[in-house]
This record gives sequence, C-alpha cells and structure tokens, in this order.
Amino acid sequence: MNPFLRALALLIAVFVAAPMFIVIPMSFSSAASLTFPPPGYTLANYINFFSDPNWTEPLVNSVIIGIGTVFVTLSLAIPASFALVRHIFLGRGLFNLLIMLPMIVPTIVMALGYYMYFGQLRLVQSYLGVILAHSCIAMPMATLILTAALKGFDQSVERAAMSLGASPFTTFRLVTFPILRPAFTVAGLFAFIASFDEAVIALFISGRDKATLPRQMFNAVRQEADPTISAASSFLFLLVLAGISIWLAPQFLRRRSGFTRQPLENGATNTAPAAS
Amino acid sequence: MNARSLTLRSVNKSYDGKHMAADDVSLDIKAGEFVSFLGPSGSGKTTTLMMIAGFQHPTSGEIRLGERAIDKLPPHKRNIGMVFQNYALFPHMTIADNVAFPLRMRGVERAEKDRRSREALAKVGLQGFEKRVPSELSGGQQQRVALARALVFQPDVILLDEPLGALDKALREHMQVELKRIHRDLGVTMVYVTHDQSEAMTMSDRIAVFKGGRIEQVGTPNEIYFAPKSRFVASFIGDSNIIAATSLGGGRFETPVGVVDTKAAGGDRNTKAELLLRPEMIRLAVRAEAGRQAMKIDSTINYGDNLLVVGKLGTQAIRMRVPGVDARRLDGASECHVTWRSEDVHVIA
Repeated sequence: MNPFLRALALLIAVFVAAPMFIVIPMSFSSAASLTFPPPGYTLANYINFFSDPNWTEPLVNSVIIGIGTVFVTLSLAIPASFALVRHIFLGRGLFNLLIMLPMIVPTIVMALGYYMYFGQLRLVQSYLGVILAHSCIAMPMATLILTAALKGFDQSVERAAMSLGASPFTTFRLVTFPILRPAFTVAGLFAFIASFDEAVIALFISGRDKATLPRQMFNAVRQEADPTISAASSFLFLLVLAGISIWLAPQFLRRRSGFTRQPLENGATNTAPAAS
Repeated sequence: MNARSLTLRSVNKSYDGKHMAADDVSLDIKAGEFVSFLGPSGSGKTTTLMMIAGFQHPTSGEIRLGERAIDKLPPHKRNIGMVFQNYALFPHMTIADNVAFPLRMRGVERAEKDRRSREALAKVGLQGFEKRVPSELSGGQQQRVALARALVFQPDVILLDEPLGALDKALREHMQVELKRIHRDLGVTMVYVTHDQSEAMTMSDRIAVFKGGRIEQVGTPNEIYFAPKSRFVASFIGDSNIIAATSLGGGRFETPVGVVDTKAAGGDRNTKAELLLRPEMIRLAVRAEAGRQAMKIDSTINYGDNLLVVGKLGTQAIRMRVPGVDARRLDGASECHVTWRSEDVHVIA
C-alpha cells in the first residue's frame, strides 16, 4: 500500500481511538479532578466507583434496566421479525417503518415525548418507564439483526422436522431456536448495550431515583468533575468491548480451527463404498 | 417396510383464487411403486408434492394414504418421509442425532433407537459417520443422511423433492442407482419430483407428466416415450420430430414428407393429426423409397456413439440419429436417403 495512505489510515485510527487512550490512563489517576496527563497512579477511582452509593446505585439501576430492555426487546422483536420475513400481510411496509422509526427520530425528540407522555401514565422515575423507552431505542437494531438471520434461515429444515414427526412447537424448540440462537444472543446483546449507554432518555425520565450510569456520569461531570467518572467510563467501555468479544470469539475460533471449511464435492471419491 | 398406496382425488390448489397451481390432479400410486412427477418449473409438480406432505393445503379434493384420508392432517401426523433438494439436515446435530430425530419424536426407547439409526446409516453406506456434523460431509453424503433419516421410521411413503438437483452429474448418476437399489430393497412407496426427464425415465415405475397444474399423462417410461398423448409430452421427453399430418383413412397420412403409413387404427379422412417420429427411429437407406425425396443435410454433430443429423425432408425439418458405425457413410455427403418402419410412427391423439 502507498506509504502516504498507510500513514493517513494510522492517523485516522489514532484519532478515533484517542479518547479511550486518554480515559483509561486517567481512570488510574491520583489527581482530585480530571487532568491529563495524570500526576500519579492509584486504584482509588475504581474503589470509589464500586463502593460509593452515588455510583453503585446507578450501576445496579443500569443493569436492571438493561436486562429488562433485553427481555422486552426480544419478546417483541422475535415475533415481529418472523412476521416481517415469513408472512405477507396488509400494512407490512408500514409496520416495518414503525419499528425502524426510533432509528430515524432524534433521540432528544423521543425523550421529550416520553417525558410528557410517561408523566401522564406515572411511568417517569420508574424502572418500567425507562425499560419501555429503551426497548423502543433497541428495537430497530434487534429487528435488523433478527430479520437478516431469518432471511438466511432455510425453512426446509423446519419442514423436514415436521415431516419427521415434530409438532410446530417442538420444531421451534429443537430446530429453529437452536439454529438461530447466535442471532438471538447478538440481538439481546445489542439491546443491552443500547440501554446501558443511553443517556438522553435517561436524563429526561429516569429521575434521581432510577438514575442510570450514563445519567450519573453526566451529572458528575457537570457538577463536580469527579474523577470517578473516568473509572466509570473505562468500565462502560470494557463491558461493551467484552460483549462484542463474546459475540466475535466463537466465529474467530471456528475460523482458526478450520471448522467451517466446506468439504470438497468431488463425486465418487467422497461417497462411501456401498455403490451398486 | 410397510408400503402404502397413495391416492389423489380431484385435488385442486389455488393460491390467489384465479390461477390454478394444481388443477384437478387425480392419481393412484400403488403400494411400493416408484412414481416420478416430471414437468417444467411452475407445472404444479412441487405444489402437488407439498400437498401430499401437508405443507400446502388443497383448495378442494382428497388425498388418501392407504385407507387414511390425510388431507386434513398437519405434516407431523402424516407419517411421510421427505427428502429435500438442499438436504435440510439439522446443522446443530450430529449425523446420529439427525437420523434418530424421527424415532425420538415417536418416543422409541434408546437402544432400539440407536440400533435402527445405525441400520439406516448402513443402508445408505455411511457406517461410522455417526459422530460427525453435517457441515463435515460432502453434498452426496449429506443427501444419503437425509435419505436415511427419511426411511428410518418406516414411513408409509417417501417423498423426494429434486433430491439430486444440487449434485454434479457423475454423483447424480451414481445416486440414481443407489436410490433405485434402496427402493428395491425396502419396497417402499416413493414419489420423486424432478424436471430432469432422463432421471425420470431411468428410475420410475411410472411417470406423471405435469403441465400448467394438470397431469398431462401418466404411464410407464415406455408409454411416455413411445406413445405420448400430447405434443407437449412428446417434445418434453426425449428428442422428437413432430410432423403435421392429414388423415387419408386406414392409418395413412398426407404429410410434408409425403404419404406416411402408420399402424394406427381407422381414422376419419381429412382429420388433422400430428405424427411423432423419434430421431433414432429414422435410418439410412441405400436407395430412395417410392414417392420420398432425399433428405438434405444441413449440419451434423458427432457424439461418437451416434451422429445427430439435422436437415430437411421436403419442407419438413428433421433430426435423425445415425448409429456411430453407420455414420461414416455420411462423410462429406450433402444428401442421404432415409427410411423408417411404419410401426415406429406414433400418432399423437
């Protein structure tokens, strides 16, 4: 490759990755405020992050809301994806557009809508309210992942199972679900991540009671420049990284071991000797 | 194995209420018979198979398996084995678990299940593959597994939906022999969907030719080949010369190639008909027959064992297959004399 292009690519990569290389060293900083470079190194920020209720409560809230979002999103996105891929029905295009809408509408507009609407329903400052709002945010991505997987799913496998004596439910349990499990996992993971690092809606409707981690980080940096925020950021980053790794690791390992290698299709030599 | 008869009685299927995907399909398949559904794509053969399997429901009509009406049953209660073009093995299960799946669905106890799966795998020549997963097998091997899985539970009938379509030519011919052997050994009723006429010819006890949702003709391979009932069947199966003719009565016909005698009985004068003359039935003659012109040779294609001669007899385009041993007589020739036996001329009804 052209050395100039190579240098340019490297520069762009550094620029993109730079915040992480600043935040992670800063999370070990001994300074009492956010300064770079750190004057010394300590684990104090992490200890504070995992012990101060101002941080642990939002962390627990975020995990609860994240898990709730995964369940709500999957229980809606799975049937929706089956309907979109396998059935032709009146208003299918509109239905698809509605599901994708949260991806198009600015989050701040949705947040304001939820703030006013959920206020009426008394869902502001409740787990349920934030979970429902976050599920809307997570739906487009989850549906995209699931419909893509379903489109690539060979339905004759299900037909084979049924002809062999499996009822529709057994077919789903023993055939469809296990084959699509990776897609379900990835969709769930993305839903969790979408909820876990969502700040705008959380700012509007989670309130002090059910504050999520991103909301607390926002407050911390606005009010006091608490250096714990760098530990929180690093934690958030590592968690997302771990999530993506869990998704990618099996594919990587499989490729390494040559597991997906397709066997050669060379006729008689490949078939067993029972000929004629 | 328990073979059963399969009966279709005036089966209709329409997806949109206007166009008929299957149009008054009636067929009696005897227990243990090997019947092929042959036709171009969109002819209704696959729709009919899907209705037998239960994945499509007839708009009207009846399907019986032995004494049992099955058209209202869901697929998993029909006891029909099915083999798909793309194998449709369960990718997340071992070969042994794939083959044992129908037995598991029927609550067969473990030792019996293992024994029967092993037997079924042995029947298709795949002993020792139990622990592998489908992606480690070649296409031909995967299709054998699919076949073992479809026969392990002793189904009343086995349906095969273009099972060899994804295999290369050599392997396909090998699998045709294998399938016939398994059919003979087990005596199971088999329904085989294909658009490959030679496959249907070599394997079937009877062939049902489909066109536009209807069964055009049902018969043994010889009946279909030598005595097609329509121009479509005549031209779809094998190479053909179809000659427009006008009856002179008594089995004689006036045609562009002159007067042609046939063994057809009677026939009114002046009715229109079409005559079928297979290219291999036309032979070289030493001298011209009375009233017949010489054939003009336009081009030849040498297949080694035979020579395809394309030319004109009068105004009629004619294809002729000359056995390889005689072909040298045509070297450099631009004309030749031809003859055929009157019993080889078939009058398409």
